[in-house]
Amino acid sequence: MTNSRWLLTWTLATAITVGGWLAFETYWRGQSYAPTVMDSFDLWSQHRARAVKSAPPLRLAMLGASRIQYGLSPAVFRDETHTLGLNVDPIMLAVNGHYPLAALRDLSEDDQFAGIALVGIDARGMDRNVWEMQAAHIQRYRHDWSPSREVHRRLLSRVQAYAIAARPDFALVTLIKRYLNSQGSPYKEYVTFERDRSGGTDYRKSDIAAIHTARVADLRNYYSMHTPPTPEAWLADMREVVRWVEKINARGGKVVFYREPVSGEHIELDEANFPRATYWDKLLPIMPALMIDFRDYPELNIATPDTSHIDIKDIDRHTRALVQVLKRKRVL
Amino acid sequence: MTFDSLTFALFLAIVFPLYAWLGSWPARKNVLLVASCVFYGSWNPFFLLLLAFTTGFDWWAAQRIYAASSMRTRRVWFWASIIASLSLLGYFKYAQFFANSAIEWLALVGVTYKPIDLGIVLPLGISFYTFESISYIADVYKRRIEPTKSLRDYGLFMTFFPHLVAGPIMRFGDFNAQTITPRVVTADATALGAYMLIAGLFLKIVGADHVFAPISDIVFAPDYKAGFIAAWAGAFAFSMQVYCDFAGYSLAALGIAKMFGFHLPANFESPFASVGIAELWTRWHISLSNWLRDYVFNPLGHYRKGRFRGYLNVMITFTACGFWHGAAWHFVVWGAMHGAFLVSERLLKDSIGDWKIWDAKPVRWLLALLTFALFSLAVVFFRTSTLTLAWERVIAMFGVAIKDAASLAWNGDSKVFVTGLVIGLAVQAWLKPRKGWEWLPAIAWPWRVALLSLMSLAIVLSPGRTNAFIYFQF
Repeated sequence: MTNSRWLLTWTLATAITVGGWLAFETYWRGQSYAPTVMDSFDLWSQHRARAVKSAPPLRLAMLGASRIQYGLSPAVFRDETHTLGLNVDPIMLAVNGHYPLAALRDLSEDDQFAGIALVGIDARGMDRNVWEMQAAHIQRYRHDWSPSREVHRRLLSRVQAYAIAARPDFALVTLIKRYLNSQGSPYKEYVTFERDRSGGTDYRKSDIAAIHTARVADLRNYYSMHTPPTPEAWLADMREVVRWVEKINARGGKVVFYREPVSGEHIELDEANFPRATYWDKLLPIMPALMIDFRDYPELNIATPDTSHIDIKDIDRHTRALVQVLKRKRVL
Repeated sequence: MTFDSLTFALFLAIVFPLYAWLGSWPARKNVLLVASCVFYGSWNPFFLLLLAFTTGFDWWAAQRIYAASSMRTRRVWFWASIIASLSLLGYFKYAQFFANSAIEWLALVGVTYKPIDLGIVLPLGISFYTFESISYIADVYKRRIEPTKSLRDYGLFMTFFPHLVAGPIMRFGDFNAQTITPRVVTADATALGAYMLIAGLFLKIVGADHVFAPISDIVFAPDYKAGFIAAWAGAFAFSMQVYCDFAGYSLAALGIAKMFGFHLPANFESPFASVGIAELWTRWHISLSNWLRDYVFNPLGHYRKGRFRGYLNVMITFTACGFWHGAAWHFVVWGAMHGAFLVSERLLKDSIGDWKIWDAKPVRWLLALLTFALFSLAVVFFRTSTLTLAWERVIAMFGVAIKDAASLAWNGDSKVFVTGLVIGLAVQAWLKPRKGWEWLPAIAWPWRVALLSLMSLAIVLSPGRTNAFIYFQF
């Protein structure tokens, strides 16, 4: 064995690997697929760690589920606040499909957090049964987050932004399994996702009628399986949330609860199960936080094609409108 | 940082050229020591202090043992060190377990306490480096080795990053010989070491995480009702998963060490081609089984004190082995099962005798498969989080079907798993007579290129499942 053979081995293997990867990228890009950053516990933790960095800038944690994650842009938010002469660092901590009260509790228990918590939520999301939906994210942040993971996640986000091969649904073994299952090519997403954990739903790329039907059916099914708590029980539970908010307020922070735009059957079902007058409005007198319902602010009443989420083209308008409302209400 | 992370790729890209570039051996050792501390501290800087304490105290205690003029003083320092090491391990690894067990036992006699959460986080690699420090102290005490006067060299032995968090469990005598003599970075060793690193990552990322984990995750999910085939498939899948995971890590560790000019002992040598559990333990987690042999089984008396005492010693050693793996009863049962297999095997060998038929190839293949099946039966207790769940899977493996038991669908997951299983066992059978990786440079270079390209490309095209290394939890 000689060095030159090892050199030859490594040179050829590297060339074949790079060539194979480039061919892979070229093929899938030719099929109209694109690279995208993928969300993960580590990406959430990376941004969560920012929320407790000292001010300035003012740290603003965006909590919520998909309506915040796919409805607000931290970049646009930052830009709009800059035009108002403010130095704000918006941090996207919303998690698709997971209501956020565990994250609010986590921030309240973290003495280092003295910023603004913008909580995208509705009365259903305040039901105690769904409080712990983001608990796993907090657990991972508290126990597993490390400098090592931070470096890895930062590098991974860069790679994911440029390589389809970094998408788990394009993993070689996964593709082989799809072929064996006669499932064809991976699903073409209509949801985009960025390194700052914000996303967008591009309904031009989707079958909007099918998504609309499925969304309404899911909600109808949810309400048929989950009886809402009585207004009294719900309000009693909220007293615990009030204490979390008081803790943040005591440190000089602020909390805003924001009921994001929804429409059609969605708002009808929500009203039938959690009538605003007997839930949300009853909370107003006891909650030491600003509470915004989109119906009270015409500029926030933006169309939601699937009844629950705004379209990607409206994110800019929605974000800037919300900044203006927050400014007007002296939160910013 | 783990070997399969981008953080480690960046770390290696900085540390290796710096190490290779430096001319002075003491300077290179300093670089390795600092790099190892960064490697470990990147998980949790606090635990670096714990490792520093263990390292410093044991280094000092070894000096005192060596310098002691009386046997009594030697013994005092020896036990002081052992107790300090085991106390730290006991607190971080077993305190919660003992607290939970005490509450459960008290409940049996009618005294009830609320479960308590001690909130203890297990320092990474503590089980491994504690065993290394114990072996050092024991070897100095037994006068097998002389203690080192260099705290840096001892620190490097304890922290050397390729083996720090999951072994192989090194002996100071073997490692120190390499720190005294300057290591040479050669192109051949670097090329072979990097090849082994790629092979290790391939086993972990492709084999463990993509091929085998999906099946074991399905079958060992708490609410899954496994039937006969599903239970065996899950057990086989996890056996292969844990092999690919840990052997992959060990191989990567060996490869990285080789790049730096160090030799670490092999930790896995085709264990699933073993004929009998006794042989399997000479090929599976070799550094641990050797440690247990030298520091538990032999001091207990081996088989020297009679056959039945020998069987008891085997049971004690392997039950301790199970307990070392994890502070939970299912690990204890797993270890005890291996002890029972070993005792049974010895009893059978003693009673059956040396018939020629046992050497026939087809018979040896069948016995190897039986060995793999026995390993897989026991591994159920390793994989599950409770004894109840393990028992459910084991009785399903013996055909006692649970009501509404599920049969594993013959889909992409299953087909890839079966293919991986067959290839995995065949490769181990092929590798069995070949020791280490010396065979690799000897094969024709086009085959080397093909194998390396295949593994590299598969790694590049296998993102997504970032399961932690299984042995990191120990």
